[in-house]
This record gives sequence, C-alpha cells and structure tokens, in this order.
Amino acid sequence: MSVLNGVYLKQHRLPLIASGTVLLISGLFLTPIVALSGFLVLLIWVAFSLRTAQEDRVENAGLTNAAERESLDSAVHGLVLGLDAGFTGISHQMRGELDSIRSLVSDAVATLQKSFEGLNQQVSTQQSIVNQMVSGMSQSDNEGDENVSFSAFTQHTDEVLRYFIDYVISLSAGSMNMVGQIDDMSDRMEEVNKLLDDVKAIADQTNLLALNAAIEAARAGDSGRGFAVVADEVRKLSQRSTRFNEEIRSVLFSAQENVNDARATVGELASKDMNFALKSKTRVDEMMAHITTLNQQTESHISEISTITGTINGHVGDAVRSLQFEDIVGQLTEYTSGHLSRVENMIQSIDEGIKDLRLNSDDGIDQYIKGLEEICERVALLDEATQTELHNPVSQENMSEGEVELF
Amino acid sequence: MSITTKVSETDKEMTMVLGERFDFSCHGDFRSAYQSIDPTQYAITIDFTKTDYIDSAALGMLLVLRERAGGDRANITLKSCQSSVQQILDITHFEELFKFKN
Repeated sequence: MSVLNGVYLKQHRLPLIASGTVLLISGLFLTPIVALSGFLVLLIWVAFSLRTAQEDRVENAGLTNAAERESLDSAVHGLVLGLDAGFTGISHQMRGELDSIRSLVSDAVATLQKSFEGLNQQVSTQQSIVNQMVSGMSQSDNEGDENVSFSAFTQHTDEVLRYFIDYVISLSAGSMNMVGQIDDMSDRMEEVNKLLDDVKAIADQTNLLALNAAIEAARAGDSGRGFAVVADEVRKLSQRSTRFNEEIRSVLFSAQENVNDARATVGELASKDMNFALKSKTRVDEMMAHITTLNQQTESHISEISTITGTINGHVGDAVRSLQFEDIVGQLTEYTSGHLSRVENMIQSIDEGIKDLRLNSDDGIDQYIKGLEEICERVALLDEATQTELHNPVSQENMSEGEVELF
Repeated sequence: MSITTKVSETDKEMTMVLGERFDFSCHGDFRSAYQSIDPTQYAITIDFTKTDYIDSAALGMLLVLRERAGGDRANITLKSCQSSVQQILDITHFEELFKFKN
C-alpha cells in the first residue's frame, strides 16, 4: 500500500486537512489573519505529510514506481489548483462584500450626518426660544416696562386698593372731626335755647310789671291817664318780645333739626364696613401668591428645558463625532483588502512554484521534498515582505472621546 | 354706655374699654371720654377685648384722637385686638400710627 495515496491521506490526515480547510474558508469571511492561519495549517499538513512519506519510504522500498510518482504529482498539483480556484472565487466574493460594506456605511453615515445636523439646528432654535422666554420673564419684572405683565397688574391693583383704603380712612377721620364740630354746634344752640328762656322770663316779668302799672294808673284817675298809655305800650312791647322769642326758638329748633340731619348724613358717609377692603386685600394677596408660584414654576421648567437642551446638544455632538467611524471602517476594509492580496500573492507564488516542480524519475523523492520546502520558504519570505508594507494604520478599537484626534 | 373709661390722674393714664361694636354710634361717648382730659398729657389705652366689629368711622375716631393727642407725639396703645379687628387694622397700616399690645 502506498503511503501517499488518497486512502492513506484519508485515513490518517483527513481531520487535519478538514479543519485546515474549514478554518481557511470560514476565516476568509471573518478576518484575514484567521484565513492565513488556516492556510498555514494546510501548508504544515503538506510539509508534514511529505516528511512522513520520506520516513515511510525508508521502510517501504517499493514507493518510487512511476505510477505512484504520477499519482503523488497529480495529487499535489490537484490540491494547489483546487485551492487556487476555490480561493479566487472566495476572494472575489470578499472584495465585493467589502465594497458593499464600505458603500453601505458611507450611505448610512451621510444620512445620519444630515439628520444629526437637522437635530442640532432644531435644538439650537429651541434653546434660543427658551432664552427669549427667560429674558422676557426677567424684563417684565422691571419697573417702567411698557409690557404690562400679570404680576405688575396685580401690584398696581394692590397700590390702588391701598390708596382707596387710605382715602376712606382719611375721609372718615375728616367726617368724625366734622361730627365733633356739629356736636359742639348743637351744644351752643342748646345754650342759646337756655338764654331764650331767660329772655322769655324777662318779657313775662315786664308784662306783669306793665299790668301792675296799668292798675295803678287806673286807680290814680284822670291824672294817671297818661301813665296808663305808657303802661299799655310797655305791655305791648313785652308781648312783642315774647312773640319774637318764640320765633327765634322755632328758627333755632329747625336749625337744630338741620344740624341733626347733617350729623346723620356725615355719620353715614363715615361709617363704612371695612370688610370689603379686607376681602379685596385677601383676594389680591392670593393672586400675588399664585402668580409668584406660577412664575417660580415656569422659571424652574424653563431652566430644566435649558438643561435638557444642553444635554441633547452634547449627545448630538458625541453622535456626530462618532460618525467618524466611517473613516475607521474604510481604512479597516482597505487593510482587509491588503490581507486578501497577501493571501492571493501566496497562492500565486505556490502556484508558480508547483508548476515547475515535477517528480521526475531521475530525481529522488528527496529532491521533490526539497523543492516543496523551497516553495514554503519563498512563500514565507514573500509574506514577510508584504506584511511590513501593510502596517495597520488604524489601531483604534473604540470611539471614545479622547481618541478622536487619531484621525 | 358702650364705652367705660378709667382715668388715673396721678399716673396720667386713661383706659377706654370698648363694647362689642366700635362704630359711628360710639362717637359721642368716645369723644366725651377723651375730652374729659387733656389727651396730650395722658398715656391712652384703648381696650378691644370685647370688640369684634369696627367700621371706618371707628378708624376715623382713632385718627382724630391721635391728632388731638399730639399727632406723632401721641401715646396711644391698642390693646387685645381680636383677629377680625386686627386684620382691618393691619390692612390700614395702623401699626405705623399706634402701639399694639396683646
């Protein structure tokens, strides 16, 4: 049985080749590094299996017949060709996918950029409205402002009410002063009334005196006739005096009535229930308190809105800054393309090496193995050269704030 | 008589104790009470303990008394005002013109 025929490989190295291939293909979709490791596993398998074959050859001398050489040759060529064909398809697909990732990301980022700009604009409009409201509120607190605010109106009402209360009280004080003067006047009139009594007593006495004089005159006869006339005149005078006294008294009485009316009128003017003022004052105070609460609430809400707007601004800024990830993705995809080229170069190099390598009958199997090892070395050297060219420029792994300057 | 008056000649003090209502009808009594003395020479206390209603005439009478007692030099104390009376005296800012005592 040949150690290098398909059965041997299937029996002894199938798990290794299978895992290598799976690693290669799956890795191609994930990262080129893993793909590379899969490819290296395959290379290790090829080298290892050839080395095993060399050892086996010592034990099994019937190895180097023409048919077996042919089948080894074609197996190696078939493997490389299959690898080449498979990889070309995968690499083509990967490049397409990388391109579509780049264009998708770029489209999405453009849309996001636009919508964040819109958001930013709206937020700054909102902020300026809030600022206007704040300055409007503080302005209306100033005195002499032509825009009459609700609180200024209430304050004005309070002032009017105070003025009115002061007016009512000063009116009352004046009225009470006047009532006192009216009372004094009444007292004086009462005194006049008493004086009139004295006047009446004098008149009565004069009348009595005249009556006595008339009696004495009648007793004197003819000689007393002249005196009788005088006594009659005196009596008439006393009667007139009494009438006059009565007239004065009635005038005084009606004057007293007028004064009493005046007192009542002034009293009515002066006596106002003060509860009206109390109620109005309470209402104005309540309104003031309500307005103060309302103002405080509005102010606190506005400042809250202001804070929120600021926070939104910050978030939008963060988001816009984060949109620079497009650049990172672009560079990463480029880098991935580079890795893909690396793999392509390696495959091509192997391909070229294998094309020239034939297991001839004159050369021993050692020559063949040496050829394969040379290919391995060449591939490794080539990869080392390209690897230094492909230094990853994007070492950033997250989008946190401080690392943005890297772009 | 709705107002009772107590005068101490030696201490130069006069106390007027008002009735339930202190309004225009009290004018005569109130006036004659302070006219019985020289109000500029006396410390006058007006006791509101019983009083639960005052009108503007009462406020006017107090102001006239203050004027008679020497205006800003007057020594007048309003004593034991109930809240209904106190509120009215507060809104009229009488605390600027009179002394208050509980």
